[in-house]
Amino acid sequence: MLYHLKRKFMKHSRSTEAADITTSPLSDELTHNIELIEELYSASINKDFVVRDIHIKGMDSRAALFFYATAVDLDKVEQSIISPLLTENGKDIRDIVSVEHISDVNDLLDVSEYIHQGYVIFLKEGSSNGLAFNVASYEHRGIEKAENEVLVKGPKEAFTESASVNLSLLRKRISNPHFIAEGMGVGVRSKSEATILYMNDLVDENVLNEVRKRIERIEVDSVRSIEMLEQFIEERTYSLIPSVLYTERPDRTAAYIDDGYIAIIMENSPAALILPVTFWSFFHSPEDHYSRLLYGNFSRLIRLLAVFITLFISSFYIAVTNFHEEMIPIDLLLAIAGAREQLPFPLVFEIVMMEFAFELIREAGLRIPSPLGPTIGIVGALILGQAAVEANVISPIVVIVVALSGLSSFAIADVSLNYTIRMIRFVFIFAAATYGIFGIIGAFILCLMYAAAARSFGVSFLSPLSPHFRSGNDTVFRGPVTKEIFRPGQIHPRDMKKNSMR
Amino acid sequence: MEHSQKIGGREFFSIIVLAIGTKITSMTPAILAQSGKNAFWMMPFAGALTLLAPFLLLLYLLRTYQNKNLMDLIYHLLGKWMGGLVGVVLFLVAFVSLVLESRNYLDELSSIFFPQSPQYALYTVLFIVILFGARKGLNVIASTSWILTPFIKVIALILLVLVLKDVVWMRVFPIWGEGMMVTVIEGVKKASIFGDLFLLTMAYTSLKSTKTFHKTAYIGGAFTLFELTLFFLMYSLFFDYKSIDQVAYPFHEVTQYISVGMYFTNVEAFFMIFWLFAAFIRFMIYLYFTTWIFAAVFSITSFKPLLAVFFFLAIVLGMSINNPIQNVLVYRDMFLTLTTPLFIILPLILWAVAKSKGELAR
Repeated sequence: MLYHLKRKFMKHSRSTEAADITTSPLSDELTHNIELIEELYSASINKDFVVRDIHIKGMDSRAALFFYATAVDLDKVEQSIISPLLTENGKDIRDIVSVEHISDVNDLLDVSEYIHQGYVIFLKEGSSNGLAFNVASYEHRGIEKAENEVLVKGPKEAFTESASVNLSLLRKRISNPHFIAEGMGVGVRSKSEATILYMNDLVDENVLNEVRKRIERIEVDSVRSIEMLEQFIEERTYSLIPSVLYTERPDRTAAYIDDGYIAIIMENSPAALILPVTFWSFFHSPEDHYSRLLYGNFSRLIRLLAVFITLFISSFYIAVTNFHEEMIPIDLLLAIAGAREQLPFPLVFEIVMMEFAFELIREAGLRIPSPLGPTIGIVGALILGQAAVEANVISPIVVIVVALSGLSSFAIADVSLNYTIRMIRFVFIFAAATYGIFGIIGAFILCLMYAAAARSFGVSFLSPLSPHFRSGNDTVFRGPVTKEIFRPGQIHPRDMKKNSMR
Repeated sequence: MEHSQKIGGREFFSIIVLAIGTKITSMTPAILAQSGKNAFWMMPFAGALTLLAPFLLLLYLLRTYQNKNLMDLIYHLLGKWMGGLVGVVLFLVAFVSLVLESRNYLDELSSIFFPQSPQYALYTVLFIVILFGARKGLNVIASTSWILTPFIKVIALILLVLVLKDVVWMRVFPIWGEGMMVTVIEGVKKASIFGDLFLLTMAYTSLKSTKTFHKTAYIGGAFTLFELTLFFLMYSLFFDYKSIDQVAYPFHEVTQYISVGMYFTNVEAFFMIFWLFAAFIRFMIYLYFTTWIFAAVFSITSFKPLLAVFFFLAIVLGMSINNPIQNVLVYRDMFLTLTTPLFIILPLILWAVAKSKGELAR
C-alpha cells in the first residue's frame, strides 16, 4: 500500500517536474541547455538518445546536436550535418548544413516536439535559439497489395503505415495544385499529427471547419492511429450506423478527394478516413467503376441482393413458417413440416443458435493462427452442419438458410457496414418471431427512418437518393461514366460540374 | 454546418401519394360502393371536380401571402378567435380521420392476417413504429416516403397486371350503377377523400420553394385521382354490381384471389409487405400533421411530446368503437360526408375576408 502511494507520488512529482522543464525557455549557455535536455530525456539511461558535442569550423564555436538515433537517417546526419559542420567554412549555419527543411527552435517545448518527429536539434554556444534539421526516417512496411478491399480489375497498391508514403501515393494520383495536405496536432501528452487532405477549390468550408474543430476538441494524452481518431470525431458513438469511411486504397481516397470529400491520414495507420459519407460509400466498391457499365452494375445488383438476403432470409423464414404458412406452396410446406417433425426446439431457437454458431466460426476464424486454419473448416462444416442435422437438433433447411445468410454477408466488403448488417439481422429475427411479416416490416421501417435521419457531418445518410440531390446518380446503380457530369450534390461541393472542360 | 433542410418536390409528391393514394387499400372503396355500386369508380372524379376550385383558391391565397402556411394564413385572415376556432375544427377533422382510419387498418390487419392476436397487442406495435417515425420529423418522413413510394407503386402495378386475367370488362355495365344522379351526388358528398390535400398545405413553407409546392400539389393530386379511379375500376370489374357492396376489404380480397403462375397460389402476404409500408408511413403523416395543426393553433413550438399523447388518444378512441362495420359504414361514411362542405367553404371564406381586407390587390 505504502509502496503504491509512494510510487504514485513519485510519478506525480516527476510528471509535474517534466512539465515545468518543457515550458522553460532555453538559456544562452550551451552547457546549461545540454544539462536541461539530458535531464528531460534521461540521456544517461536512454540508450538511443544521442547528444553530440561539436566544434563548428566556420564559426569557431561550440555547439551540440540532439536526436534519437532510431528516428533519423544516420547516414544523412553524418553526411549533411556533422561532416559539413566540422569541415566547411561559412558564417551562417543554413549555408553550411545541407538539409532540405530547417525550422527554428525557441524553447524546450519546440525541442521535444521536433525530436519526436525525427529532427536533429542544433544548439549553439551563446544563443538561446536553436535550429531543427529534418532528417526523419522511421522504419515502416513497404507498399503492399490491399488485403481487405481486394479488386480483380484496378490498381493493387494499398496504404502503408507511413503518412509520408501514403501522401505520396495520393500526390501521384492527384496532380492538381489545389490538393492540400493540412497538418494538425492531435493529443495532449504525446502529440501526433493528423493530415487533412482536400481540394481547396471544391471542399465545403463548413465541413472542413467542423473537422478541424472536432480534431482540436480531442483532449486525451495520445491518439495513436486513425482507427482511434475515427472514434473521436465520429457522430454517434452508440449507434450502429457509421459516419466515417475507412479505406486502405489510395485510388479510392483520391477519387473521393476529387469529388470534394475530405480525407484524413495519420502516421502509423495503413488507411485513410473519408468524410462526410453516405450509405452508398459503404455499399460501393471501387471496382464498380473500374468494370464496364453493365458488369459493374451487375455486381452491385448482386451485392444489393446480398444485403437483403443477409438482413431478411432468416427472419423471413421464421415469419413465413410461423405466421404465414399459407404463402408456401403445398409441396414445399410438406417438405418443411417433414423435416421439422422430429426436432425438439422451436424454430426461432434453431435459427438463433445456428446464426450464433456462424458468427462464432467467423470470429474464431479471424483470430486463429494460420497453421490451425483448416480446423475451423472441419469444425464448422462437419460438426455444426452435418452432425447437428443428423442428431436431429437442427433442421437441414435451417442450415441452408443460415449458410445463405452468412455467405451473403461476405459480399459487403466494408467492415463497418458489414457489422451493421450482421447485427441488425438479429433485430429482424426477433421481430419476425414476435409478429411475422408485420413485425419485420415494423422493424424495417424503424431502421429505415433511423438511417434517413442519421447524418454524417451534416449530410443525410441516404442522400442523394433521399432527400434527393443533384449528383452523378451513383447510388444503387451507376450510369455511364461519360454521363456522370455532376459531383455529389449532398456534400455541397463548390463546383458542381465534373467535366467543365469538356 | 447545417444546410437548409427543406423538403424537395419528389419527397412531397410521395407524401401526397401515400396520404391519399393509400385509400385504395382501406375500406374507403367499400363506403363508396354502398351507394355507387359498380359505378363507384367515377366517384373520385366527381369529388375531385368538386374540390378543384376551392383547392385552387386556397393555393392562390397561399401564393399571395407567400411565407405563410395554412394555419398562419387562417390566423392572419380570421384573427385570433375565429382563426383559433377554425384551427380547432381542422384539428378535429384530422384527428377523427386518424382515429377512424387507424381502427380501419387495424381491423384489416387483425381479421385477415392475425385473427387470433389481441387487438391491443397489434395496436402496441403500431404505436411504437408510428410514434418513433413521426417523432423523427417531417423531413425524415418525407425522405422515407420517397424511398418507399416507387416500390409500393410498382407492386400496385404488378397487382393490377396479375388481376387482369380475372376481370370481366362487361361488369362495367350498367355504366351508371344505381343511376347517374346518384353516382354524381354521392361522389360530390364524398369529395373529402381528397380533403387531406388541404391539410397538407400546412407544409407550404417547408418546401424548397412555393413553386415546387404548387407543381407537386397539381401532379400529386392528378396522380392520386388517376390511381383511385384505376383501382376502383379494377374492383368494379373484379367483383360485380351484385356483390361489390358486400365486400369489406376489396384490396385484400383481390390479393387473396390472384396467383402468380401455377406454383405460387397464395401471395397475399407478399402484397401485405407493401401495404404495411404504405400504411405505416401514412399514419406517420396523419399523426404528424394532426399534431402540427394542434400545435399551430395553440402556438406550441416544440410539439414532439404531443405526438405520443394524440396517438395514444387516437388508439383508445379507436378501440372503443364496437366493430369494423360500425366504424366504417357509419362513422367514416358520416365523417366523409360532413367534412366535404368544410373543405369547400373554408377557402371561400378566407378568400372573401382577404378580398374585403383589400390585400389581394398586391
